[in-house]
Amino acid sequence: MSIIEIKSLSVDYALGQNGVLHALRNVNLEVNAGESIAIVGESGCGKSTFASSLVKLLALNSKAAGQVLIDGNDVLAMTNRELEAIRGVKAGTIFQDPAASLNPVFSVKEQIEETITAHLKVRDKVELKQRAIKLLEETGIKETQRVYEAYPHQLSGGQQQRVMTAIALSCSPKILIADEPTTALDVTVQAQIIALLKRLKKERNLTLILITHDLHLALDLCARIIVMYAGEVVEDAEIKSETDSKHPYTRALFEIIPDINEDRHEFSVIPGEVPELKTVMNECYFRNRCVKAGKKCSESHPEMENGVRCFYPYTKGRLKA
Amino acid sequence: MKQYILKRLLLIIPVLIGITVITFAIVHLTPGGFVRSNMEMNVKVSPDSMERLKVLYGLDRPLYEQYFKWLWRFVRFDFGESFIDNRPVLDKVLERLPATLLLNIVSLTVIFFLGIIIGVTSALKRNSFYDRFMTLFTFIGYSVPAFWLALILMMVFAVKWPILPVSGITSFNFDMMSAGEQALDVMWHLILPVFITAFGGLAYISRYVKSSMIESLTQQYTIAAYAKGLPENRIIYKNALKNSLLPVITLLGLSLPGLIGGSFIFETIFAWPGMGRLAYESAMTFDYPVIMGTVTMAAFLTLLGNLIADISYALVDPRIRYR
Repeated sequence: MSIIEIKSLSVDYALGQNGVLHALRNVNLEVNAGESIAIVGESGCGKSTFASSLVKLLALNSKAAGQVLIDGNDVLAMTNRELEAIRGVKAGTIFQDPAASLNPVFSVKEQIEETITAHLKVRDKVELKQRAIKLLEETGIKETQRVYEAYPHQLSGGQQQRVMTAIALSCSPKILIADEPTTALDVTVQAQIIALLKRLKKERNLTLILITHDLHLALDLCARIIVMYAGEVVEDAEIKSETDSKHPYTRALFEIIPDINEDRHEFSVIPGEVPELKTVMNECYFRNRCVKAGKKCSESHPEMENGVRCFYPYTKGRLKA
Repeated sequence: MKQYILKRLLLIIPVLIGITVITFAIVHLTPGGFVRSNMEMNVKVSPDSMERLKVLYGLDRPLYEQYFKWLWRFVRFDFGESFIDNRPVLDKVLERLPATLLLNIVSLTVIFFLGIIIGVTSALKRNSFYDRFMTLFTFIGYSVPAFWLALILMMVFAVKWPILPVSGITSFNFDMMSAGEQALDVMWHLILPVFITAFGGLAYISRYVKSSMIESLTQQYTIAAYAKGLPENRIIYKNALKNSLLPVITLLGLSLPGLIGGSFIFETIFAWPGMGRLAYESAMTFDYPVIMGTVTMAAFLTLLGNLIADISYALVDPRIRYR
């Protein structure tokens, strides 16, 4: 059975006088327990909105339609009370900037233990400490005793993200949502956090939902890649390399990864930018930036077919069409 | 931290000396002076005896000599005697202090208690009717002159419908009451003055609390707290509130000197026997020792208030550590 099932999810943001922004449009997705998926795309393609709608952490000016089923229960229809029982218990979340995600005036001890107390009703101090220390050890923290008593600002960025991960996993959720978990960290620390996520995924048999703009990271951690563009899923497939992908946008994302062996002196980019989604148009939203755009692309909007939303997809296994 | 506190306490000394020099210079350079303003119009006092009076109080000596004489007594905690009734300045201050302390402690408590509640609830319901109403209400309190409002309310609640006392801190028959009745009597006299000071001070604190509460509610750590599945009440009243109360500590430190300073206009209107009136009376009669005494004490408490605010800041916010 699928642990997450998303049925025609749409999220709009009301912008006051500037109308409505369609951040997510008709997203359908099924994720099996233990599976790892990566949501990939540029800024503004809707991937963060997607991450927040999984546990209904949406902004106040947003309106969501459709269904997000976790273990068969619709998260979007839940009351605050019911949501509290889902968040942290069924799905833990780690965020982009660990320094901002930890409350500056509470110690690590308090921030781990309050979560355990809230969900598992553990109040015994000795037991709370045992659990917290064990979680810190599990997330690879060396000086557990010092970190346990420390305040967030006394920790390095890597330690902060490990603490966030320990908090997210404190009530043993089956799903871990990682929203750009390495973006705010420097490269060596990034590698450590990726290794940590890999190990935890295996040890705890987690369903990992990774949100990232880094295709490399996505390929490294997840077998299934979901590419989003302009609030829609444009490709949903098991991708290991460029030739596995069919959508021109996915191929373009591969093309812009710098290659150390190549003799190039400039970064390549995808020309243009993600369109602002204020009106629904009957055309392909990527067509202006697409190398394969044809007549059909400006006449109607493509639907998902065989895991790709394109009229002129690449053939799997071949580099050129 | 201990070293820091010691350093700050030692720093108070030069600042305090500076304040006393300036105050001393201003009160002595003011035209008139103690002897002239109190005796000149009196036909029974001869110019000769006025000179003798000057010599008696040491007012014929050069200013710097007078200042050092005052300072020498002050460092031994001797504020001198009043020129007017020859009583020790300390006695006169201690006699007036309780009334001012009582009024200010009660109204500061009311201001901070209601201000924090209004600030937090407005932040939670921002842009609602309640929020707008509270903003309007507190700003009216802030803008209306306290003396005017005091007179209006006195007229309405003490003259037209005499349900509250007009002024003073006790009733005429206070001495004949039992202890319980006396406490009630003082509370009854406190209602109007506390209401007026609190009404004026609410805007200040509630605006601060509201804006810092809105700020902490929109921070990433608040979103993370929701993602952890904490109960909403805990997120708002513990995690976010602790962050938003940090600026309140500064405000509390800054209001400490007001605790003993008292307000001259206010105390005059309500015939409140407090420090504000003592300072005013001493200024009008050029009672130099009393002026110096009240100013120095207020200055010392201001400096101490700042220090206490800085220290409690470090105690609440772990990111701040002083060296």
